[in-house]
Amino acid sequence: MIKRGPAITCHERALSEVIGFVLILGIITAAFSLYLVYGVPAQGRESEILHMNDIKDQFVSYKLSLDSLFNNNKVGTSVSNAFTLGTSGGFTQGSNSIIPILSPVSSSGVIAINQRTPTPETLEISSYSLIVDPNVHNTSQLALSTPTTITAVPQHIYINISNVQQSVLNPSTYYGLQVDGTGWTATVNLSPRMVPSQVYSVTTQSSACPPGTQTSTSTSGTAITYYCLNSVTGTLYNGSDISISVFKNGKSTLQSIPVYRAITPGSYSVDIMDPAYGIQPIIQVPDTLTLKNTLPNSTAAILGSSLIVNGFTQKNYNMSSLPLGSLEYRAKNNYWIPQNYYYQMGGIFLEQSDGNITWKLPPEISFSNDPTHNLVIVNINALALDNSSSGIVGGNSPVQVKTTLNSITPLPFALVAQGTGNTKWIRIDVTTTDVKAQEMWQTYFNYTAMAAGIPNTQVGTSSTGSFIIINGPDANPDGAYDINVIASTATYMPSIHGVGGSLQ
Amino acid sequence: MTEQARESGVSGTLGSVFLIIVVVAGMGVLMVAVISQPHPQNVPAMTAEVIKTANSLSLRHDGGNTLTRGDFKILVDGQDKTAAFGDPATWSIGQTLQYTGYNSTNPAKTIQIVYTGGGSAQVIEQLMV
Repeated sequence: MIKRGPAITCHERALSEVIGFVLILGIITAAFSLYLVYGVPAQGRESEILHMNDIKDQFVSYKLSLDSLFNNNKVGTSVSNAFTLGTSGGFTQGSNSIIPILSPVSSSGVIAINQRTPTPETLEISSYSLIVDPNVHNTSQLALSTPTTITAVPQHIYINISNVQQSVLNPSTYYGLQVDGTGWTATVNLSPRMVPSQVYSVTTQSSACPPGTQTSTSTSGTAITYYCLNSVTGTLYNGSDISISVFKNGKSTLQSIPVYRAITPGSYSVDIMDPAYGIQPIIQVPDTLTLKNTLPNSTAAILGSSLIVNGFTQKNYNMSSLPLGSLEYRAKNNYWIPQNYYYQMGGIFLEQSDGNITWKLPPEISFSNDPTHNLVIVNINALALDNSSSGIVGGNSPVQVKTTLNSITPLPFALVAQGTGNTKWIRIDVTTTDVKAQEMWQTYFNYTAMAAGIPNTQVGTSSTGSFIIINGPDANPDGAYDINVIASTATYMPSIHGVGGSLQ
Repeated sequence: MTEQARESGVSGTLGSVFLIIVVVAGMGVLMVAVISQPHPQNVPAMTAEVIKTANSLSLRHDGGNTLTRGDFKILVDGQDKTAAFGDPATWSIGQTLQYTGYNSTNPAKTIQIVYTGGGSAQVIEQLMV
């Protein structure tokens, strides 16, 4: 019995220590479990949400950079923008924690150029418009004293003076041809140029001549006649000029400015729309031109009529399909919903797996309504990423995207005066194989047209994409030119580089 | 000697019992402290955009979590107008909700999207019209 006592006591003591240690271990494990289950995912979600906000800001910065190149016509200039792939910390995970597993797993991302769809997404424009055509040179003759109405600012108004004869090139022949518009007058004159000259005549007088002017004397009895040399101011015919004078709002802005000096027999032409004369900017269409007076053998002609002005022709226009390209960020989030941001045609779009695509910043297709002039204005800046560019980089290190503006090309819609149109109808198509993108473009066309109050539009989707048709205020595709389309294309060349070294 | 040994054994047992009591009490306090807290919830993160024209108003989901019916309310100037926005089964990115109660003579000034799916209501987006 004596021997058993200590042995029993020893066993009991060991049991209590083990139980105590196990219980403390249980508390610690429970605390860790609670943190891992609730704390870590919450931290990870928070950091991924903040990172996606950063990505959005980086895309906005990218768009502004590309817009600034386009707006300042900086062809050939490059900009670089950095994108952070993932929430970072992938290399030093756990540095802020006691144990690495206590910090959330960092997310990663992929940045890709022109990888959105198997076939390129494109922009197509078709319309019935006044289209720039350098081969068109129709003229409209101005008849003397008969008002002629113009609805577009002509590029040229030629005063043609043909077959000038030697007989009219004399000191006494003057001709003039005057073109009157609203608030302005231009006069083209054929006039002799008389230059000041000094001639001398001999006069007689009874008194002595001024010093140095006496040529001789004669005596008759006691009377002496003095012959003096006197200067007389006169003019000298120095050839005939064709000159121009311009009046704006009753004030002379150019007065007898020679266009041709000391002409010889032949034919001459004066374009009063030359920018040097400053008439073109003051013309407000519709305007009425009236021709007055005549030059010998002269005519005045507007190069281009009221509907077919110089270099423009009215026809069906179809822009060749323009691949838009894209710069895309695909997030590989662990705690927050996966999101894809992409830049396309000046817009920033967001795609989520649990829904559709929406635009964070709208693409460069905008509409506005001008009820004063019964006009719809369509602005299109087709900012495309070059289709031959490609690249894809994934991970969680920062990358920079270098983008060069390659070209800017205005689309050949006629530049018309403010308040007038150049198009009867227009159809804009965005083709894409991505069904979500089709829905997004349809929504965007609907929203933009509705917000601007554009009448008579038709929005829909086809098997290849989405489209909008605008017929203008008159709702008639064959009606008036009631849409003013201002459009241009620009091509950028993007490439992906690592920050501090090229990755590809 | 035998009695002394027995007393020693009693004190060890008492120590163990006290230790267990202290640990259990500590765990109890810890669990009460943890469990009595509101259950951690992921409040939806989303953004929305107001689309306003001369005679209409609508809300477009601009990205983030999808909201499900019953988990959110749309307050217009403080009034619950969820039904006037159609009360959709889900409201996800790109989806637009048309407001049928728009009054152009007395247009709305503020719109709040309130998450009600958690323990307490929480404003997740506030928009000025």
